[in-house]
Amino acid sequence: MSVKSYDAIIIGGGHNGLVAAAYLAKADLRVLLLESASHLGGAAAEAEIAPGIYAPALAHLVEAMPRSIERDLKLAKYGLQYPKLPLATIALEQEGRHLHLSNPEKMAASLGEADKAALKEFQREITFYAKLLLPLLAQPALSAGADMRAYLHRLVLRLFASRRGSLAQLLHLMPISIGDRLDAAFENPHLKAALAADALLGSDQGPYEPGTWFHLLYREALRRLGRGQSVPIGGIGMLTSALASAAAALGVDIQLGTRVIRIITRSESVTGVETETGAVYSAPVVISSLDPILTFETLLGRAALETQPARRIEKNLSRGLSAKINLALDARPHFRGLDEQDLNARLLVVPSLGELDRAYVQAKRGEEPLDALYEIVVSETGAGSYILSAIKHYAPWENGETVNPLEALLHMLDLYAPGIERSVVSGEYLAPHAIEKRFSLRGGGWYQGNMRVDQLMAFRPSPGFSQDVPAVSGLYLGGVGCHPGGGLSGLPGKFAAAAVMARRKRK
Amino acid sequence: MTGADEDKMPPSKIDFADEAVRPDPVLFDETQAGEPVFARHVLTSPLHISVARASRTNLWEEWNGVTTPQILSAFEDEYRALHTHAGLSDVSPLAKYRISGRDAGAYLAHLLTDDVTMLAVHRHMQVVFCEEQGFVVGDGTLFRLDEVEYRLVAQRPHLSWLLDSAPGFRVKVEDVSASLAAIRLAGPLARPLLAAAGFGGIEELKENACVWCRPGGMPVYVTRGPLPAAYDLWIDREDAGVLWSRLMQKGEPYGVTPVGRQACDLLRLEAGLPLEGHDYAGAFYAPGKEERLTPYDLGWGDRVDLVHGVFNGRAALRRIAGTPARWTLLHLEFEGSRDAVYRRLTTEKAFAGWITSAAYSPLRGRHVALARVLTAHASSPHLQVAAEPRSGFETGFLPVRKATDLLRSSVQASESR
Repeated sequence: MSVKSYDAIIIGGGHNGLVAAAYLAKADLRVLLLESASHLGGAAAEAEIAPGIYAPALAHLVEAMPRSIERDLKLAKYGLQYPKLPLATIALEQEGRHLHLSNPEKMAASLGEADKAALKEFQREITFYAKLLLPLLAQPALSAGADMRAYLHRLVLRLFASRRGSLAQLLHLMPISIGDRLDAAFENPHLKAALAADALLGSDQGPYEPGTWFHLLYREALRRLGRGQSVPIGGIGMLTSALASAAAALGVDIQLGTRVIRIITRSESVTGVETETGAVYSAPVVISSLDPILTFETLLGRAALETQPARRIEKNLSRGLSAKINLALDARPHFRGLDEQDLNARLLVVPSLGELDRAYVQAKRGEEPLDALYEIVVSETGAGSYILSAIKHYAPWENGETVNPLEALLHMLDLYAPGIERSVVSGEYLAPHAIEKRFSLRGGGWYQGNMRVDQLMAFRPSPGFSQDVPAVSGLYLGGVGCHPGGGLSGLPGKFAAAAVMARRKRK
Repeated sequence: MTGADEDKMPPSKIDFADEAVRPDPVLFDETQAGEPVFARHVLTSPLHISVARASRTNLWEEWNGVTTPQILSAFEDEYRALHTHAGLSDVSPLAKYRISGRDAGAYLAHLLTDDVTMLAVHRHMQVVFCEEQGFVVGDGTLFRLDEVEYRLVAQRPHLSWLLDSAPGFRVKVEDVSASLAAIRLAGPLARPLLAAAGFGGIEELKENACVWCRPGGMPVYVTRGPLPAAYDLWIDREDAGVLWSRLMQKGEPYGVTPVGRQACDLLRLEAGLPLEGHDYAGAFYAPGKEERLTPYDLGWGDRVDLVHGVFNGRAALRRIAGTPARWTLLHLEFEGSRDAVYRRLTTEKAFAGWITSAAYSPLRGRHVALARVLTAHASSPHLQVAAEPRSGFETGFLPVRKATDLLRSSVQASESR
């Protein structure tokens, strides 16, 4: 048995693990990063779906990574570059009357007077409250301390001073469902469903479930934290490669194909980790970027926590209702009514709110829904071939036997882009259960714990838990299951590294 | 049953096949429509038939849902038997849990505040378990029957807390309250009585130790303590009645007397042992924040080992371990009359605490009580108890003094005789 000693060990080489490792290495710590797969990137990696063709394995958009992380880790130097503007969003329509949601002139042309005014009002509302929420996301989660009181104090004062919103309106909107909010304001059913998409994607809730308006707000705030929905030049894989190069340059020791099976503790302090092969690496600090529950139950053992905290962390819910689809195309897809440059947009296929609600119920029951919400990103891989990466929202846990979801998607796509079926070279469909298996994402959820009001901020991953685990000295959580959650922000990792440094300073 | 059959049966023996002593079969019939399901549901101990035969008073009370005798013949006789001869009581309603499996020791070390992995096989110890804020959930006696088998016995049921704490351990937690009967034999003549009744090896049994005996071929687990001169006999429910009869028969020369709960409770009060539900309330059902107590408040600091690993309540107990406890449990005696429970204790008119359980002890000629007193006043020489229980009618205060352990010394004297 070999023992190697480090200052900190990071479990998991996803973007959060890499960010945490890089920040610690930057602070002159000797850092070891252990990844069980043969490549880095986790859910933000690229996967080979056909010989030589790589597609986004799971996530296909970077939304929330703050520029401060890019700057601190000099990611541009390592090849991470973005187009100037975030992706536009276009909600497709079969007849070609698409809604260009990011283009005010085109929107004005395709909407009635009432909806035009309502849209302006709705966007203003989301922007206003998202800005109020933003400070909470840009820093480690505030618990019920003096900082939280100060924040609430400022919030209330700002709401009283503002003509845009009010405390009463915020309290009214917080628990409201996105469906009810949109039904009250808009006439155009296509517009309503398109606006609901961002509140629903990635969640385990239907459009008429309480708290979904807040989910939209949270997502908007996350986008404002970063660049908004973007794809790095060269594809999503560039994010991982830039982070990996930055970490390596800072001196992080990265080991692939090394699965950690145990976090070793002695008298309630972390002393290191043990890998599948029996190798032991020792360090006084371990950051796990894996799912918090998996970390506690499989790596640490429940005995390390007292009964009541262990039961609280167990309550964290992670349930995925989204499937991932990747298609390799040998020709440019032609969507009816879209220009060439519109292909760079984020395309949404949305049924009505009612159909979405039905799809939610069907998928929850394990049935293949008739209609679903698709978020599509098309990218060129060179040599005239294209990748179509889609998220199907409201997909059952496993593929049914009667319906082939890939065929259903192609059939549906053919309505919007005639002839696309003939250009498909290969494709893959990952149902939630396949996502769970491949990415160690509990329940097939994408965020190591769903991003619902009851599991956000001070309650993420569970009440009483945050990046810092006081019960086990030296153990930190640094995955997306921690505050502020998803959107490839890298912040959970950064905050974990900050917690480590704060603890070291106190000593 | 014919008259001839009746003649054949010796009068002192109970025939468990006897129609007259069997539980009423109506109790086990299907309930009629509209009839409340609990209407005919009576929980009885495995020894109920034997105990009911001894009842001359028909005074019953409930203990963990089981019908239990309060007084069987006369309180004074039962009390006297416990102090001069031997008293036999049915303690089957105790909550009893079998904890077994490879991780049983680790599980208990995580559940309880003390380091129980050091407990030797066939020994027992007093244990306490807390929740995450360090408040006492319950206390009990832990027996180690085997390398990987323990038995936890508590005054009140705690199954759900035991099960909540089990995930993550290779351990099986079973409630054996109904299948395991328990008889307590207490008094200075308990040991010779047991020896006469065929309990081999009882003479050598040390305090806090346990032994398997086979009186009359029945396997009985005999444990000594925690009450002075008390032996607890743990036995299968089928054999319990037979053992009771055997002890009554063989114990006749030793003056054995069946005793009810009231006399037993006084014995425990004279020994100064706090009881869940009387002297403290478990943290999960305590009616208010004030009513939740830490092990230090109850004088159980010696049952807390802060360094044996992670256990429930450790973080909170570590924080308070250095500071003096808010409350102190005092074992007091005083002269006076009437029911003394909940009476106020004062030091020169300042509130000091109150009495949590009390009874008149004929042996001492005084009331003996357990009291919860603010630590600041616990050692005050001016501690006094309100003379009347009801506020508004207070006529004065009575002086109290620390109780002496009369019982243990009297037992030791009789045993050395």
